[in-house]
Amino acid sequence: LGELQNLDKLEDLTALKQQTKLQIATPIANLSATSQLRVTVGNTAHTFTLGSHSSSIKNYSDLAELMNSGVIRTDVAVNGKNLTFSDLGLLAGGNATSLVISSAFLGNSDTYSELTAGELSGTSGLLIPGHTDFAGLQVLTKEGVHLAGTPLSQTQIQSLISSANGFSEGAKYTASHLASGEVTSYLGAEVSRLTTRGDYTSAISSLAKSSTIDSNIAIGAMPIPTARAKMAAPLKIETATGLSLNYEASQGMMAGQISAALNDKISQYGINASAYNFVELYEIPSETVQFDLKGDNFTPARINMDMSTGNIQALVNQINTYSESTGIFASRSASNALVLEHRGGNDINIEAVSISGSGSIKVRQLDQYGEVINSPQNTASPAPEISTGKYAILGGQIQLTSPSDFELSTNDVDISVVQSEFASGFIKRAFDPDNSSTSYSFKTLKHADSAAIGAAGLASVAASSSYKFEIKGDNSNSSLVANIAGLNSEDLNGQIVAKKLASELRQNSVQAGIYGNTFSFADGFPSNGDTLEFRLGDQTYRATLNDVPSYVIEDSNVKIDGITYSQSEALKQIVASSNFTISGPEDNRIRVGFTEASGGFKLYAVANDGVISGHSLRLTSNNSSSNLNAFHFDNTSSAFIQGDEFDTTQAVNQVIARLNVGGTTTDITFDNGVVTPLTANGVTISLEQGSSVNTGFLKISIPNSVSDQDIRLSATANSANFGINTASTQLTLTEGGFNLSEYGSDRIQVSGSVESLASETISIDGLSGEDLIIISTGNIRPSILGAATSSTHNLNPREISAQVTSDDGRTVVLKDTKTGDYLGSRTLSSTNNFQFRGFDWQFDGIGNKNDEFLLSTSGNRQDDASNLVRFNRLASLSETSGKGGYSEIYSNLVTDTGFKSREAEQRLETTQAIHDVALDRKSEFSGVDLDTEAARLLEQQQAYQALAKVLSTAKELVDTLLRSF
Amino acid sequence: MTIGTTRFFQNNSELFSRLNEDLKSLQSQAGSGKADLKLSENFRDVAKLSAADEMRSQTKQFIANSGRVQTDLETLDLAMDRLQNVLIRLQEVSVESSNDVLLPEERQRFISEAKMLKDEIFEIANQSDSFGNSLFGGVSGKSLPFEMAGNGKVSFVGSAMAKQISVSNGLSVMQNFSGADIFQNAEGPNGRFSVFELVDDLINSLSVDLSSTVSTNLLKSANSAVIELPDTGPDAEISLTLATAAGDTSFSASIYGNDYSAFVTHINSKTATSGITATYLGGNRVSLQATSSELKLTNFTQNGMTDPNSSLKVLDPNTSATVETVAQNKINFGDISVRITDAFEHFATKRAEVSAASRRAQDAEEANMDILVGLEEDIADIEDADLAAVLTRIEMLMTQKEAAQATFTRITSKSLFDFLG
Repeated sequence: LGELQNLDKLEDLTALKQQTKLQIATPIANLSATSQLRVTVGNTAHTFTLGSHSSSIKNYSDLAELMNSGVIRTDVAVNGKNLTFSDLGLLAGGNATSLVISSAFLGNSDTYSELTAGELSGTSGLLIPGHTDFAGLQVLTKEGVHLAGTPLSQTQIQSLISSANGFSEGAKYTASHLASGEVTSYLGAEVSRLTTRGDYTSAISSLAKSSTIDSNIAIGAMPIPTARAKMAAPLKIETATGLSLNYEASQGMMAGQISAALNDKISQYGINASAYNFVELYEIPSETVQFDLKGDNFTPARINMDMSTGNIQALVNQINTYSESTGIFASRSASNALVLEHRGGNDINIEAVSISGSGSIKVRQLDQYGEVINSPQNTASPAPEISTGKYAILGGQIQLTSPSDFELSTNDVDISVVQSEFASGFIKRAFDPDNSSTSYSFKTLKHADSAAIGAAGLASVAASSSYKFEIKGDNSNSSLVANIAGLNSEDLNGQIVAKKLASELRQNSVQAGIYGNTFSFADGFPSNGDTLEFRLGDQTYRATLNDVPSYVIEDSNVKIDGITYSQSEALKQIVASSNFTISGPEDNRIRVGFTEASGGFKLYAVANDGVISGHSLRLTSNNSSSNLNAFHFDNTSSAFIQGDEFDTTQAVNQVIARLNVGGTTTDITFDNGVVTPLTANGVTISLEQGSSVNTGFLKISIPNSVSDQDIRLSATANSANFGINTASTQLTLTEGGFNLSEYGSDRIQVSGSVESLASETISIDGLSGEDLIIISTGNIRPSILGAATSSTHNLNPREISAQVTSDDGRTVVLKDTKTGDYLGSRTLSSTNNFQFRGFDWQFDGIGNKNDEFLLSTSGNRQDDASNLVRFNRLASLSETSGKGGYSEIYSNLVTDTGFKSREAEQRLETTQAIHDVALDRKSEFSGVDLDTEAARLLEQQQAYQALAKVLSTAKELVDTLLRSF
Repeated sequence: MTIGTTRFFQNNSELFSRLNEDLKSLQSQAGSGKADLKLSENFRDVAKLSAADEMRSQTKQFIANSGRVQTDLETLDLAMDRLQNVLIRLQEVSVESSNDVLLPEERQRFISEAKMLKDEIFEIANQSDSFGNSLFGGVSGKSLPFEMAGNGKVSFVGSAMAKQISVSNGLSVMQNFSGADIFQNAEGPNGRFSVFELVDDLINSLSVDLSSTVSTNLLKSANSAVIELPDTGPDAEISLTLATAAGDTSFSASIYGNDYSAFVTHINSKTATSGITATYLGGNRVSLQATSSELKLTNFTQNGMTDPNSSLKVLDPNTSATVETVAQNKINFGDISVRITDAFEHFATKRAEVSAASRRAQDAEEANMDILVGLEEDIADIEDADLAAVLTRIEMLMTQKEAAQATFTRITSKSLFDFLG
């Protein structure tokens, strides 16, 4: 596709899919009030009658605007609602002659259905099918280092890696630095490639078996086996490009060591291996617990803790005092549970267990996201546990990840490889054992997924992204699901996506709130700054009353701001003016205010949208009695938890929910319209009337008198039809997305999916001026979006080490010295040199294999005459850089000037001669030659004298004549 | 054509002026001996002169560089001489101390001396020339290219590139060394090594009882022996030799997470030739049996163990009490002595490089002096006037001038007016 030169930063390079479009062209004059636009979406034809709007339609841009804004809706309602274009995932554009309708359908009918036909006023439209195939964007350096994309096959390598495509002569393909996982580093730059579906992954244990088949956990009576379990047969790895490898671990190797060894072998195939080992010890008994903990250490770390006080943090702290030697870190995951992490993925051994009573500790392995590994060992019933005299060998897991599909097998038994939406997907998931939570953030592409209409009105693109999030909760037969779609422009923001998903998930679960007692003005109104502290699950919120106006009681009236009110009116005024500020882990999580009730007002506090965990919203024990009194709370006040409405005519007898009050669990049964029991541990259970006949909802009323207010309503396998949906997790919105924290010893499972007009997005940051080549290997001609920033340096900071790698000494591999990353390789020419990165690498002789040369850059050279050398070099022209040659230039300048000077002098002489001749000629006319003038004067004198003589003679003659008379 | 008298006088005046200027220039050249080069007339000479001037300037700088580098290399040579002397003393210490009857106090004295020698090498490694430039810092410009950590480990923080200075076109001579090349790149029989680590090894070797690297007969009181192997941490490599009456057999293996079963398997794979069988007891303990009544353990080396100085323990099979400790054989005097010799030769080679560089600088200086003389001649050829030609031309111009003046005088001395009246 092209070359990006001197690249430093590449932001969201994306290839866009093409949406299906319907183009209709019929004379605008033909449209009337009865004209209908008919579109078939999925298998349903939807009709939009123009009606009175037809008169305002001057061109198809007007019609498009009416359709997009939802002014014109379907004639027939679907599920009680007349649908808009937006509901159908359609966007219209138009000009004077044509209407174009784009569909947000991207091949997955979960969110939108496919646009298959359409007509306007009887004129059928032309359907232009969309293309949703992967464009297959590949980003490589000019030396053939594949940074992002999918591994290339040998055929692709041979056809694409060529100087004709901009690669260097001698470029060699390698996938060793191919971005896989969240972020890959190359030359210190962060390279990431995200796809909507995510990378292909497979999790195996060190026994070369799928983690879901055998997660490598061994529990038994001491003594512990002397030899470690080993993979029974080699692991076979086959790539989609036809490469294959067999790997067999050595005796004693654990997951971390196997993953490191695998990486050495398979990174060149574009597959990355990593290892992790998370183990949860849960339901730790309230007894004295002792065990030997072994990780990297040989001498066991003896753990000894009296758990009778339930101080799980003390046990965590004791384990962490040995972390330096064991390599194992502990974190609290519940009041009687902790998570052990052996960083690097090697085994965790728990040996010589001793528990003072007859108790035992349950053990389970977690994956890298904190979910229980779904292996037979972890899901066995009863759950695996360790007790006095036992040991547990808990193996880590190896995660293999690749942007491209691959196959794994051992002994010809295939190991599952799946695409994971959380591995380089648009949903980022990270387990934080220290906070016993998992964070989620969502990638959005505003430039790709916003609705857009081209300047000419025709090239319309419908907002096509959708985000789905599912929590497998307390109901084993149902999930909490949120699905948002059609987000546009500013709403295409990760935080907003998280907020909308959280809101929908909460709305699909149960509602919780608390009410104070009804009070009148005479009962008193709390003052500014009065506070109440609430607890929602594990979270604490504090509400502070503000803006209570000043008031003066005058007999039976009340004066506020100089206006006199009756007491009841005054209370309304005060309530209207006052408000609460809430502080807590999440903004706007709870809403607190006063609501009007018979005889006055009462305080309410509700969890916005709902509570996924099914917890009650309760007052904490930190509230003072004076504050409780001020807000009119006493033992008769009550909190509530309630489910959604359901059909109360269901003829079943099932346990529809489970109520936990202070550790005591009560099953709530629905039997032909009746729920039982009606009370449990002081809590009232009722079936309330719904908004229509034969509907109702389950309500739990919790009087303030109940001593343990930590109450939770949870779903059962039968809850789906009874408006109860919960999961043992607490969702907290954060700046980047949301966190899901585990509640108790239950662990949830989540999944997600994303649709986007961009099937993949590639970002690179901090490459410091490398040239990259962009290739598309997909089946469609892609439209590319993205932003690139270049970077140039006067002194290239890249230091290069060149290592001779062949026995004949002629092959040299060049690496970035700082990072050790591969830059390229060259073969020595017949003159023992090669060109690389603008340098002529000239070798004196032939190196031995493994000889290494270092190209250093230093801005700190002094006293080495290097400037003189550079000046000298400047005298002659460099053929490689094209710089220099001043000596020749100066010489030419002197010669040229000399010639011109001589030419000017000659011209001066010539001109001078002409000037002289001209002066001579002028002088000829205007000048005076004294000799000539003297001669002429003599002539004149002589003539004069002659004439005088004539005159004299004549006079004499006349005189003579006269005298003769 | 007839011209005016004034014009006639003007013409002649200009002619005389031009002749005077030419004569003045020629007389000036004759007086100074320098040619009066005009760009319009001598542009080739001017271009040549410019190039020659540049060349002269460059050559003078090369000569200055040569002088400077010779001075620096002399300092470097002195430093290398000191280094060789230190190594000679180190070898003496090594030989004197390689004696297993030395008392601990005597060993301590050798250790003290070895530490002082290390300090002296460190001091030399950070030595500077008279301008304050480091002799072994390379191009880095760091005044102290070597740093010593609290644990005595010496690291190089200078540049791997030696500083070079141009002494002629195409010839650069090193002005200093990269410390990495001198002190951390000595070639030994087992690859390259650091001189500082060599001294550390000598110091460590002096701390170890020589006799502790070989066990006594493990089977002297029982027909099997139990040894306890060290903590591998996540992974480590181990090798040792088991000596029986039938001969020595060496074993080595990579051990992961203290699972020595692989090592036992390795020993048992050679039972047919060694006569030794092993059983892994767990807890890093191995039971050894041999067909021979004598079994000794030696040449124990390891890499990557949690404790780099860890040793093997021989346990009482019944009580598991430690009977004997076998130290690592990584430090042996033979190896150290060889490496000291190698380091000495390394320094000698580098010193030879200093001499060679100095000689090249000297040669370059002489060559540049010759070039400078030639250049001066060439410049003189261009700049100096040809006196004979100048004088001849002066004579010619003088004659021309006199003839012209005489003619002018003759012409202008008589006028028609003289004949009038």
